[in-house]
Amino acid sequence: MASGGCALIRFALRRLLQAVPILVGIVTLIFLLLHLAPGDAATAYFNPNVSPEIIDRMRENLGLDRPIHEQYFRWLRAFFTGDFGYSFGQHRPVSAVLADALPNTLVLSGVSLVLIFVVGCAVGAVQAVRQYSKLDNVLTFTSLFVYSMPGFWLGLMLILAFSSPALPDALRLPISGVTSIGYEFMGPLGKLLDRARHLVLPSVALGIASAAGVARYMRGSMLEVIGQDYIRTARAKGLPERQVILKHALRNALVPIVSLLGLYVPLLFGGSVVIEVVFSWPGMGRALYNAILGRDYPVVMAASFFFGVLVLAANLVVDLLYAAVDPRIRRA
Amino acid sequence: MALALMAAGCGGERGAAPSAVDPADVPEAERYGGTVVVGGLGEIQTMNAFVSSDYMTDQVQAYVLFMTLLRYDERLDPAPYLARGWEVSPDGNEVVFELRTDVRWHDGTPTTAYDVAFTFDRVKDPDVPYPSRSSFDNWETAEVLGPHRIRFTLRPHADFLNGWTALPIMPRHILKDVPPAELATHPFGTSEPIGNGPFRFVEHRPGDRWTFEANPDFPEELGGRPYLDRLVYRVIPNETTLFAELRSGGVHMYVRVAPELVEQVIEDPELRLVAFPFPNYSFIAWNSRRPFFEHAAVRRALTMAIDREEIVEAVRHGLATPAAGPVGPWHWAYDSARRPLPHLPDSAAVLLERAGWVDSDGDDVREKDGVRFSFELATNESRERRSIAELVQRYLANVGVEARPRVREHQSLVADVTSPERRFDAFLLSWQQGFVLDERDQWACDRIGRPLQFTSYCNPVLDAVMDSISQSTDRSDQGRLLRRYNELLANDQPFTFLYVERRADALRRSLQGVAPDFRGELADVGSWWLLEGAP
Amino acid sequence: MSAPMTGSRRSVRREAWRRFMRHRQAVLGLLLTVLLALTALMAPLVAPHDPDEQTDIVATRYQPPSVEHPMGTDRFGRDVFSRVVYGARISLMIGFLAVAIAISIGTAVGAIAGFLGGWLDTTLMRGVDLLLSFPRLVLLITLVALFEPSIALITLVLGLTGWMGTSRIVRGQVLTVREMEYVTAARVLGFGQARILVRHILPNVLTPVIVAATLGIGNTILAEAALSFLGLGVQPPTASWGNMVASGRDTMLNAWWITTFPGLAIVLTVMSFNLVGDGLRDALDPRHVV
Repeated sequence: MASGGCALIRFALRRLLQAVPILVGIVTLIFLLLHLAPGDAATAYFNPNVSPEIIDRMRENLGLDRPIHEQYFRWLRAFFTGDFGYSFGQHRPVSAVLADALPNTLVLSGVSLVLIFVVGCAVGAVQAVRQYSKLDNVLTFTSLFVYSMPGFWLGLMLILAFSSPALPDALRLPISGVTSIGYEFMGPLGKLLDRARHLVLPSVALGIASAAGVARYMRGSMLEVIGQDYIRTARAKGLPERQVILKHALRNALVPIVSLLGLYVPLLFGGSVVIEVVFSWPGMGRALYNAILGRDYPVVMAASFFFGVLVLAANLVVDLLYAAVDPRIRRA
Repeated sequence: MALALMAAGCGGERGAAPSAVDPADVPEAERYGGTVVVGGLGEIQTMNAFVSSDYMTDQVQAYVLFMTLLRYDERLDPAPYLARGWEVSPDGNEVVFELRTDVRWHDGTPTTAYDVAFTFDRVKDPDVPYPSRSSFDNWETAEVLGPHRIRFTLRPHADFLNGWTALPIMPRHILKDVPPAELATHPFGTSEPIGNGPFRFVEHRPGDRWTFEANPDFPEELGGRPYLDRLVYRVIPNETTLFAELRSGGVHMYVRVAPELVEQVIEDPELRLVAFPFPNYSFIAWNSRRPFFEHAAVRRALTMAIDREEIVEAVRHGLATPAAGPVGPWHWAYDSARRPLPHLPDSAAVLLERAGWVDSDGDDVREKDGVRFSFELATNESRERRSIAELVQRYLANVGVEARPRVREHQSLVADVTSPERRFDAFLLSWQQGFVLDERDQWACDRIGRPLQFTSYCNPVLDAVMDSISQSTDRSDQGRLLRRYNELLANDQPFTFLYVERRADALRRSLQGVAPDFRGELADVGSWWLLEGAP
Repeated sequence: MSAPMTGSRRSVRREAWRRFMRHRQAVLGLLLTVLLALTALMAPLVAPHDPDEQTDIVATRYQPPSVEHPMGTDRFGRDVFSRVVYGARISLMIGFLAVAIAISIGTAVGAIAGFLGGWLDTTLMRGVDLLLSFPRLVLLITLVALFEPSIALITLVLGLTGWMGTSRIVRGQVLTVREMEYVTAARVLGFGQARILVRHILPNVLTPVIVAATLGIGNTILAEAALSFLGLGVQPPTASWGNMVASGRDTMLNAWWITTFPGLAIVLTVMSFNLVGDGLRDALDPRHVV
């Protein structure tokens, strides 16, 4: 077991090393894209009251008048020493921008991820157990419907439904932001509850389509397992159906579902841009979107970098989970 | 006359009040308390007055957290604020400001002439990216005469006090040791601002909200402690969500409400609409280096082919005034008798015909010297502008001119139109003017080739008028010159001036005391109050 | 894995078709897809009005559904039904073309990597990892926001950001097929690399590619809608379903028809393609049939 653990660590380290060139590639790609496009942060001050001299001066202050390669290497060197620079648009260090926005996005996508897998697996399993029943058909259709909906559209529907003045107060849910006004006056429990309530609609809007996807996979995976010999054997042995399903079938059906994690994490981060705009969620997706529109290079690059890191981390987790299950992979 | 029209434009409340309580019955003493949430689409990034440049940010700085030396009254005359009064030397080369003695920074330190001198020094420092530095171009030196007296030397010019109505005074005792080049990124602006205005800073959650609380020590003479306990600005970057928050009571005011929502605001018994003329106009700039747009007659014809009244109705749902020229209804020199060019497509066709643009090959597009009258009309992604571009395309097609709308990414569009090569045929944008109409950067012959002289239009007569405006210190004289300025541009149409925005805010009925004008909705924030029991 | 010999491919195809036709939902999806394609092709015949026609805007805007305007009118008094019909052209065209681009690149990269192997394989797959470790929508937004939002750009960018999944699938398939007996046999018989690739390997790889393509069209339409919501999709006056939904969203409460119908069109279309995709997968890969 000890050597197995070591191998696992070596495997993880190797994957981490492989990640470095990928990350450098990402930031380089984004850097080039940003500089290929016309306009820069200084043109954001386009306004009859701002004289051109001031814009030139601003460009100079921001270092935007230097040759591209110089800007690139200067930025890259600083970046890998942990200095992400200053946000032109937000007038504060990029590290502060990230410190505010990253946790919000992680919480939102984390909750969504749990929702995706719990709801998806539950629905898929129920469908498989009740294959071809009315319930199965209804759920198949519903998940296909949800899966085919634009996320922002669903988000707007939820907002209109849950903010309707016709709805009793008890049923209303917050439709924007992470905390209520007056949050600072709440007790610890109240604060927790307030945050939780704010999470409901955005995490549903962000995750539900993927949950429908997981349900589809889960249904197939579960059916495959149910068809296997050992399940038949378990049944033949006279084990209660409940136990057969929960202990044997479900557990084995979940194994291939793990690989979906690597598929859905990037999808979540992409979706977060739209959902964070819809629900006014102060996270990375929105910060990145605003930064792209305002040509706020340091934020765009830092945000892209961290999205890349998070996706690679998710892939690593998937690989490790698999490697833990199947030792052959470690050697491959 | 202009004033009467402006007053009619203000506080345009519509719909019936459903509340049982008549706001007028609430005694002044019972108006205190409550939290008001203002919601807007745009972020407020910083309270650092040296760097910002958007309208809402400027308002929060000048009216909520900080104080400016002077404020404009509704006639655009400078009035005392932090400065109790001022004296101009007979030759106009010196101004002495007398400051209030009862204003303190929110940490308890008195606000003094040293703060004013410090703010002025930084504004003049080329390392500080203050965007409106040009308002102080003619101001030379500052000399503190006493804790509350300060003398400036300057070159006399029109509206010389303008800069001081927009520049919030910054606290010297906090920022004096920050190197000028680092002022822009100092945490003062984003996480720990200390002001001296009617509200104190409480909290900034970036991307979410700014929270302010009433300053109990704000001078009585200036209104004293605001009625509200707290004022919150929330950014909600999507119209549907913001409007849903307004309807459900999470937000009390939706700033600059989307025109498509106007009918819904008016129909909702819990909401009301306030609208006011706003120094922001939409225009089409014609590149006069292109053969199509060389002549004023052709440009006039194009303007006359465009139904600006219908654009105002269709795109702004009535929240705009068709513009004749750059002097809008918000300005004291606005002449409401000067009507914009009428919408007369037939006359436009005749004018084009006379200018030699004739459709001889029957393809419904005019030609001249083998050149088809077909050009690209660039605009940005804004929904409002895209809609206008669609309409303009249709109007011009009716007179045999082909406009090809092209939606451009905003930054790259700006880069193209400000480039010396003027990489555009025509573009459609809107922008906000300063209160002082010195717009030589846009029109003067000697600015051709500079970024803001988009059209390369040149009229020496206009140049002379603009120079006189910048020199004139007499109101009646200046009014006459401004009307002349407006007239010349209206005749030459280097731009087609489409409309001047009427900025509208949607409010919940519980929010009282809001009567904004062109100075902005927050100008009288100290007298806002919440009517209890009202929606 | 089914390992069809080249000779029996016809019967395999017939068998798959039979299985597909037994799949009720898939047939429904196929019917809807064909209907949509026909609508798009014959838009001028189907649409009762010119999609861009505006007369007296103030008098004709925001009209609820009626006989004259089955889906009502929008904020410029344009007929929503006609715009939905013409929008089908744009949305489907973008979907098909972008997926065609994605599939071509993905198949080429995957086949080359899998067949040739070695350092080329490693390099290509690292590149795929690089692009996959970046959220697609973020990449899309970055590309479109920085440049001009035109239909051509959007299609191209959607295609260029959508091929990585396919290349992985194809590479995997190629690796499996390459080791199979008949390919080994072909190699022993001295057939050229290219011939083996085109004649023996690619046909077997087509199955998962077709499935991926069908599912990809739905995703592409959804991605265009998301871009439109952010103001970066197909630009008006050209109607796409995405920009119709996005531009009517402010009036959802008092003019629900402006967004609801194009929204339903998106859901219906994406659903149809997904149904067909699922059906194809089940039909072409018998292992999946349960």
